[in-house]
Amino acid sequence: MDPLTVAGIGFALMFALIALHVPIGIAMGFVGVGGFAFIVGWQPALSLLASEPAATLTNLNLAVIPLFMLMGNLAAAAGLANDVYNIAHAFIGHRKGGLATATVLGSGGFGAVCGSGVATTATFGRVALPEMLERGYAPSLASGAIAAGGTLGIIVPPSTIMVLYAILTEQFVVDLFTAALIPALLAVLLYALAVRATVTFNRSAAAEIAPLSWRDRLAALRKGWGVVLLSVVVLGGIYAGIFTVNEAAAVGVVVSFVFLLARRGLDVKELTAILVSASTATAMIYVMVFGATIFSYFMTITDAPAVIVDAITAMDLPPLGVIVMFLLLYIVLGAFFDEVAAMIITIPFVIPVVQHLGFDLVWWGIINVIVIEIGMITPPIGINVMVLNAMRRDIALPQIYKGIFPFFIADMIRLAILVAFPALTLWLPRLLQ
Amino acid sequence: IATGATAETLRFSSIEPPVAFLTSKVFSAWGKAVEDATAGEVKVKIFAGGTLGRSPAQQLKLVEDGVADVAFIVPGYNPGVFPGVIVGELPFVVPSAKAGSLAMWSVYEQGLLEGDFDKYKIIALFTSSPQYVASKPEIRMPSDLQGRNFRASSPSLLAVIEDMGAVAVGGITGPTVAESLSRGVIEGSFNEWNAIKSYRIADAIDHVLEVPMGTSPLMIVMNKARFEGLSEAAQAGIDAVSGATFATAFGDAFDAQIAATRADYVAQGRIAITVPDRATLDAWKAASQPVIDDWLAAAPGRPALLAAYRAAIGE
Amino acid sequence: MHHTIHRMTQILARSLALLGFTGLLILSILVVLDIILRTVADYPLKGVNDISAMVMAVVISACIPQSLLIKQSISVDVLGQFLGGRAELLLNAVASLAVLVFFGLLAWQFVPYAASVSASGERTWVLQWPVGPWWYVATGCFIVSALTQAMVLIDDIISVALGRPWAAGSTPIDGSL
Ligand code: NA
Ligand code: NA
Repeated sequence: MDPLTVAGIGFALMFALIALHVPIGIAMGFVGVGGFAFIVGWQPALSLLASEPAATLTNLNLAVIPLFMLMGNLAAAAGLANDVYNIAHAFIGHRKGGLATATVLGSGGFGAVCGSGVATTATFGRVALPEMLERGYAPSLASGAIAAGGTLGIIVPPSTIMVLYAILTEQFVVDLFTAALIPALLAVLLYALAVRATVTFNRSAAAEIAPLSWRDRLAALRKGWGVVLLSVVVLGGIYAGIFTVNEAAAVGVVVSFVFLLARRGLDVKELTAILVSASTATAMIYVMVFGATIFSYFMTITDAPAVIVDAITAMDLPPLGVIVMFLLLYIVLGAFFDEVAAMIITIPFVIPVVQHLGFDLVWWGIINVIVIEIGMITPPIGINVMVLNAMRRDIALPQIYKGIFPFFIADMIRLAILVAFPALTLWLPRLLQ
Repeated sequence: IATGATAETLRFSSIEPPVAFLTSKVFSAWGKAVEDATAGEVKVKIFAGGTLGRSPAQQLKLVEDGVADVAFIVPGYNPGVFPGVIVGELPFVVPSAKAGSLAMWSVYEQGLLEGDFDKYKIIALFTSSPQYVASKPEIRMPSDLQGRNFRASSPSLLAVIEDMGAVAVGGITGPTVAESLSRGVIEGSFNEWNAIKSYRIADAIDHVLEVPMGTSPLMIVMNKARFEGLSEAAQAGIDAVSGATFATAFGDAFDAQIAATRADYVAQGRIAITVPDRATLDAWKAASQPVIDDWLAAAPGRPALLAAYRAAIGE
Repeated sequence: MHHTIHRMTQILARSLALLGFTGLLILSILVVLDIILRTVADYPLKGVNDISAMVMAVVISACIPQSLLIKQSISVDVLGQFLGGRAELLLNAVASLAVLVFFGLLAWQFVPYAASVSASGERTWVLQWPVGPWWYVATGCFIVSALTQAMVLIDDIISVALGRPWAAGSTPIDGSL
């Protein structure tokens, strides 16, 4: 059987398993083992079930994911998210739609100490949502700002998604963290404009709030040193070359742990909850990587990725046309899949093509992260929307999606800008190299 | 998968990237030689850059399990499995990759090497060329290592530098040496010129002191059952281009590459390269002797092994 | 009887996860101590780097039973939600069976893996700690994972029989991707 047919059957089986609600990592693992066995033999294929997870478990680059998870959860529990939000609130809360803008800025700021989009969403669902609703903001705008703001958690470094991408494509994660800075700023700016547009078209979406005194503003600012310290230590340490990424993540864990102890005392029950919740989220990612790495053996042995690269090269399409095609592919896949899963499943095919066309894999990583951000807030599986919906049953899904729409437009504009001008992404990492 | 009626394709796993010189020159040349020597009965397909397993430590297991048929192994990542090859890691023993590799094959054939060798079909044994002191601060004498964080590429070298008062740092693989150097996790490392170049260590160091502090032993192993499943003619064909023949090809290519890379850095002039004088050599030699003595005393066959290895190099 | 086993599984899974991440917290503190000592006192801790790979292997494998127990995984439930009712419960049970088979095979493969690492005498680089025991601990965690998943599957089968969700743990969403 020719390799493409084998790979195609493998893919079809994997989709069938996934449709049957089998977790994506497990589905990839099954097809990987089965496919490898079909070509090479059962004994070597089954051995992959030990050797690949073992290699993944001892991969120290991947170890920053649990550390960033733990850091984000500790920082949230220590109230650092409240601090950032309060600062933004104190300075711009009184403007039209100011609390929504403060939510966006706060999420971006908290994103600098939290690597996860869902954690950022859940945190601001607690920190900012009740206040906006109390103060008469439309639930659509309030929840839209939080769901969209939450996506900043993965584009503002540190970011677990970037770590995952860097490992699977063998890029240096610091390059991705550096490349993300301008796109992240652009995201915050465009989201602020999206809030502006919402309140311009729908004046009743946001209520008027009295400005705070300068005394209160300075008080908020003074309380914000925690986040500043944590992000300077972690990101500053990485960018300035003081720490390795692993060390920075470990330092971040310890600093946020100290903050939690200093501010809340030692609450064993709370600490237990934090540790367990970070641990299960980590386990979920690792199981997915187990499956993805086993699956990639099968793909390698079929030679299908190389065949596809050759086919696309032979078609002689304009490189940018191929990129747009991939983005459309992700939008289609995003209707069925979690976008992170879509990225992982397609890496064996897409990365060789992108590389062959002469695009930079760091740039493509940032584009991937933005596609994932968009996926987090679009139906049918917008994970951030699900999180908010689970927290506040009284806000219906359609209402949240309505509130998200302006932010979705902002994301599309950002994606178009960054695809059209790769220099915006690549300028900083090249400067710092 | 098979292209001809009787053609067998061996999956050769190499963690080295496809463009790296070992993969592109040495391993693929062996693959071609196998094809010729077996009259096309056996072909070799190289999976480079870790496409069959990214982790260096995992490569041996891949061959054992039959995921790969042949693999390039760095035994240093599987400490304790092939203790015999440590003879090539000892400071001041191996002068060049070619001499070290040929001598390693010779002592293997004499049955002097301890380790799990019978479990695999050993295609070839190599050593790199000697590793030098590559560091950020200037290091002249063993005493300059006092209190400094250093990465050693082998347990024996690690013991040597601990003797000299350095703090041995583990858990750093070749590709992460440069990052660890630039973040101050370590101040220096022991590497040969190829590694200094390909791992971009050159950008992170200012000094290289060329004292021969031992090599990195390397191996090519094949799944034993897979080898024995081939026809006798094919087995003979593979044997003809492996062992000493492969060691010679490897050693020549490696040493030539080292010379060219070193010449590049000399021309660039950024790194201060020190060729040690007699007194410096003697000081480093004396400082590493206790560890060599410990190693020799640790198992009964070792003095004979070292003597045989030295004799084979001397030839 | 079933309830006792159920309760014990929950406690075991949660304790393992807690133990694992407490270990991670301690490892982080050691890393910070190492950084402080090497910059301030010029005397780094020996071997923090050396053991972290093996510690991580145990930490992560210890977290897996709990994540299986609360069904925290990246999966697609479009079909189940579309069908609804007993069909959805049946799909859940099928998926749980697949997860059980996967972790059963994984645990089964890890036993010889741990044995072969132990037999080869592999040791860590600096501290010369044997690597084998760590892999036995990880293997133990995978066996617990498979047992936990068997528990989950039984719950799912009971749900199908009853025609309504039964005893399923809720999925906390905080702290995922
Ligand atoms: Na972030
Ligand atoms: Na989506």
